Amino acid sequence: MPIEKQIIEACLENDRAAQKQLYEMFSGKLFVVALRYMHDREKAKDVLQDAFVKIFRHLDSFRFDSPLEAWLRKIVVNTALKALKKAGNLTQSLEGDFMIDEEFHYDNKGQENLSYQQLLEVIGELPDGCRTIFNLYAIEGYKHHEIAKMLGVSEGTSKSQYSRAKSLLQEKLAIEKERLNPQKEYK
Amino acid sequence: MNKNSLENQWKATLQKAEEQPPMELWEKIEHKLDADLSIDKTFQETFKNASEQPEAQVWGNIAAALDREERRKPVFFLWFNRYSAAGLAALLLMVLGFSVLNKSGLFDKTPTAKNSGEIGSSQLRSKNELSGTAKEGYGPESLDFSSNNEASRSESLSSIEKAEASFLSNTKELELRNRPEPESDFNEMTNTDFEESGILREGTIAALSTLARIEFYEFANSFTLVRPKLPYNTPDRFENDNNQTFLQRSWFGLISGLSPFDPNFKINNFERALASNDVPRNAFEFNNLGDIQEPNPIKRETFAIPLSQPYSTVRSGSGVNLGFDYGKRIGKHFSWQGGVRYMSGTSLVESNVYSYNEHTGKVRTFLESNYIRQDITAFDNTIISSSGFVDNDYKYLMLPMQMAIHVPVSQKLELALSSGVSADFLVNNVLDNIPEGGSKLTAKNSAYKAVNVSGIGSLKMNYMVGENWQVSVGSNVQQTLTSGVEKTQGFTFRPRYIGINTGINYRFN
Repeated sequence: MPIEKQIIEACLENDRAAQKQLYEMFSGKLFVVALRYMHDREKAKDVLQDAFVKIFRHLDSFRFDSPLEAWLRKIVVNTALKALKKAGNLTQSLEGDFMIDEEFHYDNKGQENLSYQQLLEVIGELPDGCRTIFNLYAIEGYKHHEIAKMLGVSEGTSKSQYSRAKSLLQEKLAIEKERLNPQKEYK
Repeated sequence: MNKNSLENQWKATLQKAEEQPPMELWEKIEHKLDADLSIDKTFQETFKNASEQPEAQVWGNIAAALDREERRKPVFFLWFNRYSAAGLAALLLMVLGFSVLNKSGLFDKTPTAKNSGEIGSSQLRSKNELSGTAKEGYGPESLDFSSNNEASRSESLSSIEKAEASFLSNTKELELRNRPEPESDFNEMTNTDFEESGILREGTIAALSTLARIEFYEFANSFTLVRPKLPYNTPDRFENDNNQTFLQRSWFGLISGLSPFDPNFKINNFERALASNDVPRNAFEFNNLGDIQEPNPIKRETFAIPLSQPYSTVRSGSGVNLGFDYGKRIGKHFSWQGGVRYMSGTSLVESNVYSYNEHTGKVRTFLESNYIRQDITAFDNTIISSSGFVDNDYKYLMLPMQMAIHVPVSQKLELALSSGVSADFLVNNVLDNIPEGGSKLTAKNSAYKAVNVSGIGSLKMNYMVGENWQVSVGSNVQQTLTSGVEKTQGFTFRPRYIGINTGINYRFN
């Protein structure tokens, strides 16, 4: 029996040591997921905590038909969305007009050197709405129509917010890269 | 060339037309696509394996939350809180009461009654006669028991002792007659010996100590000696009979009831929840009354009186229930009963806070959108301040199970006091009356739990009509023990009803 399955079965018996083992196996990755959505570390910790409590409460609904990590990640994402919704900043930031600088071009060379902490910094500077949509589309891999359904916005809003996020990210990454490598020039 | 042929020619020309765009255009597109891919790819790859351990305190909090959860977890599916504790306590009391009363012999036949068939009326009065006398007056003077010669033989005793001796001599005699092998000092005595020996006169106290344990009722006192009897006693043939069939001493019943229905909502932090939804400042207007003219100018202050404060109240409505019961008597005075009931309850949500979804055009009460509804994918974040009522109706299917104690009043009339628990299955909750459309909420799309547990109690009068039919009328109370929603939802929902029930039963004798 795979170790993951053994741990889950022990968790279902409320074995606290197994629960902690599962937590230690995934908490690192899931904390970064929470940080991507929440930006604020304290809020991310709250989300991770709520998500793990939900995970342990509802572990019996995991059917082993998908990778455990994907299932856990989904719960963290949903918990983060709920927290953002409760905070009320999400939809507000999805409204309003914004301009995308279509002429801005970004040289992608050297991006591989950026650490996740630097990317978290950059993502964290985005408004809640477009940060959420960028996370859902670019990193989680949801389609725009799925995001629209999840957030209760139109598909067009999801697409335009994604464009906006990318535009902002490109700008911010360019600035970040310039800060790190001042000798290079960007168009 | 006519107009049509010219248009066709232009169309053909334009459709075939082709011109290479400047080279740099593709470069721009390629660059942009690369950048797009690059951004996504960068984030995807960087975060793919990114990991950062949260502080140890996070696990501590999770473990504490799980511990709290486990502590709350019941033996079965009840949440063990004060409500379920009260329900369980009532059930325990009932079971304990049953066993204690049975042990004490409250519902046993009295020895006198047991022997009344064997003993001639000239020798002894029956149990009913004894108690009848006791009912007329409890003082020693009123105790006019059977043996006339006892009084004359026990003149030295006080009047109470006389009465005791008199009573005991009767019961003693009965005991002796019924015991094949008496264990006391009276072993060798015949009935005649006993009557003539004068033991009772000489050793009344000794006789008391020997016999009282067997013959006295626990609820008797030194004046009455026997407890006051019920006006009507259930016939002895209704004793426990283990060979009863399913239908024997059982009944099927149809019941219906009316009651006020109180959903018993308790909403936490309603205003705070509203604040977190970015309600515009002008949603709830404040009436600036300006300067209040005070006689003393120093005290002059500016007051802002809110014209409307956000509120959401769920008002009681009425409930109707209809159902079937099956019951079965256990012993002379107890029964259990179970059944199925359909309950429909109405109530009103009175609120001045509604939410509007710009994408769907739906209007919902803020209570629904923020607290009850769980399948909301659209954010109903536009808050409307408008005072109004919304119908809030519930439908439940209930499976009650109760124990009852039956107190006979007359041959045809009895009182039945019952208590128990009920599993309540939510059929739906309909929030209606908004022109833009109401909502039908179920356990699937809302915070409501599919099953709740409630405690039930009722007091009924049952009256036999004919051989097998019985009509009943009484009052009942039902209180949901577990909140109908998860604790984390920010509100509790414990419906309760106190009302009247009527029913008709067909009894199998």
